[in-house]
Amino acid sequence: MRGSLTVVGTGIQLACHLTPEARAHLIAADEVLYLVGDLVAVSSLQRLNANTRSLHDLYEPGRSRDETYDDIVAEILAAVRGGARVCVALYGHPGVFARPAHQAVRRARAEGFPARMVPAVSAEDCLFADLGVDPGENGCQSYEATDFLLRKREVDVSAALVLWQISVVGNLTYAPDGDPSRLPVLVEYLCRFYPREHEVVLFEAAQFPGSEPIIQRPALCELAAADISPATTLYVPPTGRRAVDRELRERLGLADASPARTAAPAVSPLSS
Amino acid sequence: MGQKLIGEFLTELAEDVDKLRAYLGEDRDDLLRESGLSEDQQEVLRSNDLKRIRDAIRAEYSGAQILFVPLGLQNLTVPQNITAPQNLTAPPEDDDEG
Repeated sequence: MRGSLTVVGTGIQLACHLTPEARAHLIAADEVLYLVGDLVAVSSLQRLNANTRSLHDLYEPGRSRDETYDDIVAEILAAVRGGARVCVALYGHPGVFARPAHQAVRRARAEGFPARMVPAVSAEDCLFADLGVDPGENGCQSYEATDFLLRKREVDVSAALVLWQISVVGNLTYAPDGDPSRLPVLVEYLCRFYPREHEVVLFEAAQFPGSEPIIQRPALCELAAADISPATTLYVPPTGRRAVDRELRERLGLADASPARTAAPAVSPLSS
Repeated sequence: MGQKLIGEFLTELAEDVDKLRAYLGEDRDDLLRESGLSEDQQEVLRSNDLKRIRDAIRAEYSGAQILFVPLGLQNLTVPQNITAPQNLTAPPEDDDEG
């Protein structure tokens, strides 16, 4: 029997976000390996397929996450090489902030195994819906929080900014309860671009059917004192709208259009 | 037969679209009354409070930890010397029409 790999996402709420395609792959798999965000999702996966195995045991507090990711990829590839139709289920979108998933797919393909990823609902998708934010309106910058600081990312304050995994900013090990001790460094860096009193949003997507998302709106300078969970994402609204460049507008043949019209996001069946 | 768990009930919603539709719609109270959950459990779910629901589920599973794990860091231990292309660092000339 020839092994194969399919990586699916459970979305943030498995009950509401699991796609029919992902469900079909989970049911048909010889083995399901999973990393999901709650015990209800674990239980649901076990009901869909009797042969499930958690990858959580590969995480150890204090251990480098890079090492853990290597082990995750190795574990997945070992199952595929053994000839099983392997389905890996990850919470959220399996390809968003999920480096081991991409690595496993690439490596499986390089070894000649059929491998693919099935898209799903990410925390950022929930954020756009729950906060009423359209990333097409002003643009959107999206970074992992530690990466954002280490690389001294420049910020365009006229576009939205999303920072993921702020609860473990500056901590490269596995910290199951989060480690917000370095949040003041993040606040200090953001204050180079935004007013200290700029209202930001701490967002945690609703994890269960019917439950409400957790949305807090502190001032930027109060961020470090806020109640932040490991699943909290930071959204920083733009401080203003970027002006339209006259020369480029004319070169695009849009000279007669009003600035508001040229700035509006396109809406079509293909873009929405 | 022991007391039904909130986690079990939510798992059933994942398997049964009709139940899920009822739960998310106007038949929620009826569904909860017939769910086998205690009044206290029903009240937790009616609160729609993510923290309360999560804590209740955690308690049901003997204090098991929420299983959130970060997956996204990209080789941050490797020194980086990548510089942005010039055209990305220079903002376009703006006018005041926006």
